[in-house]
Amino acid sequence: MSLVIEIIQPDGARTRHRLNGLPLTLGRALANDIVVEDPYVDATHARLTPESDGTVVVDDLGSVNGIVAKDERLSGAVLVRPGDVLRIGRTTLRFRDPNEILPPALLDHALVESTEPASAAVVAPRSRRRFLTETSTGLVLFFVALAACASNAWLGDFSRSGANEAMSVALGVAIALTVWAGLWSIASRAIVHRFRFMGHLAVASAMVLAALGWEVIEQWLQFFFPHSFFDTVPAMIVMLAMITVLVAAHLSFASTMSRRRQWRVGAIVAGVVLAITGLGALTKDDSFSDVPKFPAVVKPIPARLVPTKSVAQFEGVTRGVKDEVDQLAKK
Amino acid sequence: MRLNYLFNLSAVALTVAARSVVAQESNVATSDVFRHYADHVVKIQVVETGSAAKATIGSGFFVTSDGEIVTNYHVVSKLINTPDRYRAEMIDVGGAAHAIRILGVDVVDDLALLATETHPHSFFSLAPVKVAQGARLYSLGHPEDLGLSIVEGTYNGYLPHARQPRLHFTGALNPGMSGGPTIAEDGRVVGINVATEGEEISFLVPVERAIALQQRISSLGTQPAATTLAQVGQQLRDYQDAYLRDMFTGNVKTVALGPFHVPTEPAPYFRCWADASRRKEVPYESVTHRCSTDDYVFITGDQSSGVITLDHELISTKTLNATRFYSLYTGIFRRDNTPSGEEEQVTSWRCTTQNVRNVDTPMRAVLCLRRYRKLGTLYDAVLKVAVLGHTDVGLVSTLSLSGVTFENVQRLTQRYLEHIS
Repeated sequence: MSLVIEIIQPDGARTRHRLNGLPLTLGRALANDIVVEDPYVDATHARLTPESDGTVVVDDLGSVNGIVAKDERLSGAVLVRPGDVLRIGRTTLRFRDPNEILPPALLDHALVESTEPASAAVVAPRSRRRFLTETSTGLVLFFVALAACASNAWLGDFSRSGANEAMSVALGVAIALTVWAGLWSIASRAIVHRFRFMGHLAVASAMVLAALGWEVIEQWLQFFFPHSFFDTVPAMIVMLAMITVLVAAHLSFASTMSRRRQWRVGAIVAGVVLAITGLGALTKDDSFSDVPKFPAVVKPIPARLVPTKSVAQFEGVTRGVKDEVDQLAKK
Repeated sequence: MRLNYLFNLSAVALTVAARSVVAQESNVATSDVFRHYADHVVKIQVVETGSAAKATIGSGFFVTSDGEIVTNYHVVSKLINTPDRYRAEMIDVGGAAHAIRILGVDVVDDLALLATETHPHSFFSLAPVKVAQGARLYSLGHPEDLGLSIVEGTYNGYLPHARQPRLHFTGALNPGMSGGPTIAEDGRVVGINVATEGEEISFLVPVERAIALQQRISSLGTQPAATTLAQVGQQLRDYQDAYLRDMFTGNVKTVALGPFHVPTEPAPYFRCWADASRRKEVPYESVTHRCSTDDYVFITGDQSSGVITLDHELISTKTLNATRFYSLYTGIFRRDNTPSGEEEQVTSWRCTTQNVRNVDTPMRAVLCLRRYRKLGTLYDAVLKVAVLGHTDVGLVSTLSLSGVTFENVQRLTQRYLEHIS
């Protein structure tokens, strides 16, 4: 069995030596086989000798500070195996198996972007990420999101100052998106040493577009199917999905997590948000209010296309409301 | 028109003193009227038991030698609605306090008949009375708890737009005078002080209603009556049944608003107003049409019953596109114009929304309902309708009903929906 000794100095600097040609000596003097630059280490501090079974024994050569394992000074010879850690002076000695199993190499996004021309060898997930992180994509999505927010605000406004309203909404969204993407960038810088601002901006902008799209769909659903399961279930599912995707996509830029782990974290965050909002809705629903709530949304479609009930059917439905308030009165 | 009831304890300067000048012209001095009848009138106060502080103050007057007193229902409404929190007492002209008991109420006419253990020397014997318009009347009571006062004024007949009979008295009634008598020079009671609109426009309950209450109670003999609260609930149910039975039946009056036709003036005692607004700063025009009555039945605090209103708003635009116009339309449809309420009296609202079509008009219809907590099976209901199918014109119509049974809610909303086109 061969071993590698890893020498970790107090400042974190590491050197590694393969333990071939034993025995070897360890110490501060340049005459040693392995030189350890540590003032607390003796000139010739220790010796490493092979045993017949292939293990290695470390002997203290009468040093001042000795050999320490788990904060205890050892006496005599020490048998070491891969994974063992010793200390001489203030230097750590770690023994490792040269054949230990390693995780696969991380993909270097920076290298892929800057050096690799479009090549047939680029695999699918890599190409998608590359697409998202492009500065142009980030900018395009950002401005499309701003335009969508502005036009949505304009269509939802019926005052003469509609255009001003739309502009201020767009400005607000622009600031919010920039701050959001900026915060994620700072996290990215800390974790993967790159800002990835445009990537984060693209993710956030895409999510704003998705949320706007859903709002439009939801309004039409509320118009066509008031007080149905469309009120709650799809909204909940869409919210869960959007938060999951948002968090996972940001994490793909800001972490070294595996793809599966990114999705899992996204789903957990979405679940927590949903639980909190769900709890909030439950407690709010119970309090007294003298203002009625109802889906008031009306939509401009031709009379013949409006799906309707007869007046008699409507009166049938109102009985359910009576039962509800009768229940409330009993409380 | 919103009446102010005369029982609040707010410190307001009185106008009573200024009126004594007019009395000089009459052949009977106001001071004589006061001297003759002052001992017929008492103060009624409702006291919060926890703090022993006065919660409501009003007036009343003896109507029998056994110490029976007539006052307003609203003077003792707190005692009736929350008996565990209030007690009531009568203070006679000498300042002595006596316990009172409620014999019966007429919530619709805002009257209550009370029993006391006292035996007054003199009292008002109630009898039907005819008075000419312009006749001089004298109102007695305890304005703002400042001691027994007399207010002189003139009789101006029955209110024209009211389902419940009310007399118009031109004289300055003030809070605290509620339940006091308004009498002619010869001491006959003409009406019972009930409300004021300010500026000397005041209202009386005709004495005939008090006589009817007195007769109803005496006909019961000694049999124990239902609890007062149950009486109130039953009276409200009977009232709304009579009120609403024929509403929106037969030849329903409608009014044209833009391309739409909607019900209006559901009964002769409704008054309708219309108004149009074209403001430069908004890109749409609006026409409102509103019908309401002066009738409403005070229950307690914030709660009134028997209020029925119709409210139509036509909006149209020449400049907004369909999507923007419908944002406006949604906003107007969503606007809350429901009556307020207190948790102690009513439940929260619950609503149902449907897209509904009568013969050929598609509408978005919302019915919101809340129930009275103490007065049996009575509800407040609001039906809101937005007519669909146009891109530049819309109509939001609201029918608001308070203190009605669910059967009447269904009957009225159905008829109402059928008459929108």
